[in-house]
Amino acid sequence: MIAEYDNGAAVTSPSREYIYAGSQLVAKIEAGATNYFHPDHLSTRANTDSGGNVSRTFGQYPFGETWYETGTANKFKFTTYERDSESGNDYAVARSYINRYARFSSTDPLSGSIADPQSLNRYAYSRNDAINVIDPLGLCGGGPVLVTTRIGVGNQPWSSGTVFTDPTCNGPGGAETRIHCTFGVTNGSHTICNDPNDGRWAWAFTKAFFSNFQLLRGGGSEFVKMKVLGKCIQDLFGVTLQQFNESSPGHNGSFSGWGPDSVSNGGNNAKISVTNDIQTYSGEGLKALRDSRGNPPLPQGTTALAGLTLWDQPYVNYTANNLSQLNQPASMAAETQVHELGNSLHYITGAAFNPATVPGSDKDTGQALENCVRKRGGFSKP
Amino acid sequence: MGTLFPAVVIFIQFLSFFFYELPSTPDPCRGSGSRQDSAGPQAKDQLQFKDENGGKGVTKDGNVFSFHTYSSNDGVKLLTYIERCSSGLNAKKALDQKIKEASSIRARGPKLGKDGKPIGERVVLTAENKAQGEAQSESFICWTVGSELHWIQSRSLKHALAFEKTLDP
Repeated sequence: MIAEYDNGAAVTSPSREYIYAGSQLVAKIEAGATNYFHPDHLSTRANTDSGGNVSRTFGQYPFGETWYETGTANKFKFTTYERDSESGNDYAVARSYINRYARFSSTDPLSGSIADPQSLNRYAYSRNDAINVIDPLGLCGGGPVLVTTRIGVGNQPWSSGTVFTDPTCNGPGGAETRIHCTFGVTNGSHTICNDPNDGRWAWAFTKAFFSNFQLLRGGGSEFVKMKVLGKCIQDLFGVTLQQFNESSPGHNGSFSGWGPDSVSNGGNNAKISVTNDIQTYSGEGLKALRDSRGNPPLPQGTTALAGLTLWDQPYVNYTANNLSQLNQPASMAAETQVHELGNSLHYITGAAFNPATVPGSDKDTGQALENCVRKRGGFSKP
Repeated sequence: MGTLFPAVVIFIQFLSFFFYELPSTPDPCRGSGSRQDSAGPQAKDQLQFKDENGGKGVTKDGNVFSFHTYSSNDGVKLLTYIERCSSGLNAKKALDQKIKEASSIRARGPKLGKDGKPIGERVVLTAENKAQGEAQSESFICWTVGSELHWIQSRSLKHALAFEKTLDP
């Protein structure tokens, strides 16, 4: 909200104007007087006038009920929510929040994940972590879901469109935030927020990614269908996909999921993060890196590799930074990323293939994941 | 006689271990090798293989290939290689080319599936590899499955055969 008009107010004379720094409300102008908001990490704790005098103080109980409020009352009380004076509930954009019950009045539009049981309670407020996490849009009740991967059209940075953000809503790992798109916001013919389920939602971009997204150069539309990738990863490695960002020239890709980690966590379930480095090595460099380890030679004539994963560095794998010289389709980077992800997850999980899901003698882990995604139609054409 | 028969079988199995490298190995899909990361108990004298790196590349003909490098518990390296050809016919051609480059063919026959039915062609061969300067003799177990050409490559045929048997336990 940037302005309010009382009944009869002229269009050019709003009754109240609100000033923001990013998503943070910092001031209100009303009848020519400016009132400043001073929040902590949750709610506004004090208001001051233009003379620096404290005009209001506010304190709350953990889930938003008013503890004290002195001076001139303000309808913005708990976090960024606007409190309805009749019901006493808070307007949380996507939903209504009942602070006295510490619950939303309706479910989170997003479903939860069985890998994150807390997320299955879709009425909960901020995963019941009200003193650390806020939920400006009423969308934080759910857990991580499959994620879109790219914002960009062709080789041009995306720079227009309607995207609503919720940058302060942290996911369970503390690093994710989400982007709310209205029905797959499009730029020309490209859907830039593409949800695997219904096209409305995309989230789990990192804050850093989001803050820079307008500078991101993408390779076009998405190549990897998240739903298929998630199913294949679950079938082959027992890992639940949480996030997958495709690599593109000059920008590393990433994966995060939840599953058994035998390298860092003794085989217990943990968050697994894998970076696909597409910047450091050329194809020739990757071949040299492999050859430096005294490995059997690759077929004669092989001068470069497209991708490489090393067992002792499974959380970072590599895609060549000069794939365009290999005369392969534009989807090669994404296919290579998926391939190397299969290798990384094999090293990380220690998964022995299930003969029921892996055909015949095909036990090359990267190839198995790539084949699985391909056979299920998980690579889309540019 | 009732106790002698099992003893004879065990003795034959014992001998077959030492003659493993013979090209006339009757059933390439049964044996004693195992991957280090596969489930189940491991006997002390079994070869175990550790997956050390994997990746993909593109051949000079433009085909995409995948590879993995393994190291056995006695220090022998192996390479597994899968080349995705444009058709089954081209996979056969790629195998024929591999045969042309061989210095010797040690076995050739159908590649059998789990049900014992042929699913492709299998060739055991030796080739001189000059990729790293001086020529080295490498053993290859090659086969085709559909439009894919597979091979296992090692300086030790014994290890290559042992690894092959882990693929379809």
